[in-house]
Amino acid sequence: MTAATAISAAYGLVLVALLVYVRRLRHRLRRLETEDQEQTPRSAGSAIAP
Amino acid sequence: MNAPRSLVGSAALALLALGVYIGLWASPPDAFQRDYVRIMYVHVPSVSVAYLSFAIVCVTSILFLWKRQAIYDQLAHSAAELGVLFTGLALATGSIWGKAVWGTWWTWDARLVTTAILFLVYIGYLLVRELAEEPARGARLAAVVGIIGFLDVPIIHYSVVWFRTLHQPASITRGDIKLAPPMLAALMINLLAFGLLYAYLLMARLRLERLEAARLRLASEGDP
Repeated sequence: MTAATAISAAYGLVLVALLVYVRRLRHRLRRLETEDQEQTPRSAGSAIAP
Repeated sequence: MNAPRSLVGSAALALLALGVYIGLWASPPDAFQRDYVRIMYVHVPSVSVAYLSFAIVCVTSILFLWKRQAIYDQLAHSAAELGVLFTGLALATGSIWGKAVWGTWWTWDARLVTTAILFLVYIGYLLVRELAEEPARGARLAAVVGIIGFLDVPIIHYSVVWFRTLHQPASITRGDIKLAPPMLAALMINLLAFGLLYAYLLMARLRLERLEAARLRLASEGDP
């Protein structure tokens, strides 16, 4: 295996794995934060409702 | 977005870009391994943050079993997932490095085997949580796995001293640094970059864990 191949494979693997993980994490965070924001006014509203 | 998390994320990104530049172009090749040594700048930081992660799992798991506060369990779960990610990266980059300089992807070497065991133990940790019918029981069981699993970390670290291994011994030990100053600087920058990235990921993962816990709480309150 040449140095260029080995280095590209190692750096490429780390980069792709981290990008995929960060993307997935941010996507899940955004979805839950949106849900959370939708829930908050509803629960606050129900708390003060007669 | 959370301001401190965003700041840490931006700093990590900038430092990672610098680390990749220094690791690939600015640092010199090794006298024996030539350019293959550049893999060290992603391999060693991956292992280091994995160790840090499992240390966090161990400490927070002890605190969770002692104080029974959800935050410790959430922190342990977040750190365990990141630890598995970085251990996987360390094994994969180590395997590529091994193929390049040893001529084999894998060998039954003490350092490699004990690291693979660590990887499997913490996959087990995540599975225990995922498969538990009762989440509270799953969290307690996982905490025990998290504490016992950490015992493997010193074994991995000293495996190159205790056993005859193909893996090289530590290049940086107390009072003895076997790296040329430019290579040491490149490694330190990459260690710092991975450390910052890890801090960003842990903050984001913990936030996710807390939001999921809040959603589950709301759902259970809504159930008749």
